[in-house]
Amino acid sequence: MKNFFSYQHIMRKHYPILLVIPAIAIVLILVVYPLLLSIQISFYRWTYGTRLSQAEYIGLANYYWVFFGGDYLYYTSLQLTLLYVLFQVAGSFIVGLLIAILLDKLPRGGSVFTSFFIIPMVIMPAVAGLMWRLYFTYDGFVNYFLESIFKIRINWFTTDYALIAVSIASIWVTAPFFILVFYAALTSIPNHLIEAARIDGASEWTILTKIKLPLLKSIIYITLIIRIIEAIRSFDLPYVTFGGGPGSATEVLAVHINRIAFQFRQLGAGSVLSLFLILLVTLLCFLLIKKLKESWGSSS
Amino acid sequence: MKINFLSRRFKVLILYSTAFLALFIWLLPYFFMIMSAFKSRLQVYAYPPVWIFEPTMENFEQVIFGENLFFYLRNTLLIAIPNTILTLVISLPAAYSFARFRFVHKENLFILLLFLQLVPGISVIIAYYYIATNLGLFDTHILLIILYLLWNIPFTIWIVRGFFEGIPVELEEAALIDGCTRLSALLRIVLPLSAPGVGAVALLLFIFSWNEFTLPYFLTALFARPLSTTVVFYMSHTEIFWGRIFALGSISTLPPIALALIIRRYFIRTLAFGALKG
Repeated sequence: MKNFFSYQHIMRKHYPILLVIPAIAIVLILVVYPLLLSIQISFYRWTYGTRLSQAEYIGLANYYWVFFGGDYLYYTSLQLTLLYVLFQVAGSFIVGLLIAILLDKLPRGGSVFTSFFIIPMVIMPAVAGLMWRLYFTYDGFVNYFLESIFKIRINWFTTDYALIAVSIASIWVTAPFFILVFYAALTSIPNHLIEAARIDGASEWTILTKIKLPLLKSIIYITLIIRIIEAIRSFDLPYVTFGGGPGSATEVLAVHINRIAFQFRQLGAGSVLSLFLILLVTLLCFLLIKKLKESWGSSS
Repeated sequence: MKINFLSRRFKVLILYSTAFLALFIWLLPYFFMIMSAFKSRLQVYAYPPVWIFEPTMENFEQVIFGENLFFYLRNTLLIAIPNTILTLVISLPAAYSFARFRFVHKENLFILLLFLQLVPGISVIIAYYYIATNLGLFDTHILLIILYLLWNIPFTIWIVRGFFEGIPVELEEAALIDGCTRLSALLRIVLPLSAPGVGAVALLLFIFSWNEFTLPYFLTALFARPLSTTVVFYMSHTEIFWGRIFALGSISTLPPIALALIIRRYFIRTLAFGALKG
């Protein structure tokens, strides 16, 4: 009898999954181990710069501190995160969709335009953030245009306007994703559908709102969820643009984690916040997977 | 009929001018940054902005020779290139398996990859900091080469699976009948046929590693610090050296943009495809 566990038997019978296992194992380890570690760290009062072995075990005190008033910026940062995500995703969705529709209308050369429109996507987030930081100063580039067109200058680096400024910077970086996806989706709509509507006398506006956009519905859902997840988890751009300031006017959750963990040096409390952020992303991810499965189910 | 023809041409003209104008406005912030890199200190702050001036190379000189640009560039390359190769070596067989074979929980494993890849970098940074210091890997290239795999492997598998599925199975079956092994079928038929797409993915992986900020910002100090985190050096407590930031920004953003434009056909297909599928 052949040995069931022999090398050759396993190789012949199971090699499809053996090809997949290294990739999945590496990714799994890189996520699960830090996650477990974060849970452990969240029970300690661990100061950045010291060793974890010297840290004091304090049970749930970090959780209590974060969620019940000790971290007085926690709820502020949640609100700011919500607004930031709303501004950024809504803004880049609208800008992205408009540009994609415009490019789709071009008789030819749309894809060349697209590849230039998506340049902000491959610019280092750190550079993009710093660039906008200068443009949003009182004597900056943005105010120059506002003054020449609307005769006003806004003091962007204030509690009222800073979040809007960071959102505008992030729209510039994230709208290319929508441009890319919507342009690809619009051009892949079969031509005969549109020709048929045109022969029936439908206006361009009707064709857009009644035929094209409904066809994009599941893609719109999916890209929106992806962008919301990306907006919640992005750290580099909001951090570099205004560093959470002025005061805490742009301190979204990701920037707040940095403040607590590395500026206030409370790695334990920082871990609590990190776990909370992972939880948020995970919930959204379940929604994403549900939508993905629906769209796969309908297309096949 | 003639009026109709003219008005149609006119409409097309309007469309193209709108597209050009929109593109110009869209990229103006970036052009303005490159322009500002050639300005002197006073000109950068000038209001209203100066459009015509005598360019100075002072900022570039300072960035390239004063701050040891090549050292950071070398670190970036020492991280990005090995990471790209390692990602491909691990991901291509997996993508092939996902594209061609049936095995238990295949689609669930595929979705698990997407799921894991969405973990926020800032959330795992504390744990990574602990692991890195305990293993003595803090501030080393190898640390970042390995950690970037977390995002790059799932991305590659998701995209390349689609490329492989686009290649007719019959080609491989014919080769297998002729006595080819699976491995040589992958190496001699599937890879060459999907080479442009896989090449585009490789360049994208390189761009991702090149641009990554969060992880190296916290996990490197002096020895392995890559280019992407060095722009913030010019923000001291007393002054921000905008000219130098823009000079460094111009230098460090040009390679990814050039690469993206070179592979633009595949770039659009790849990324859009990735987004459409997931």
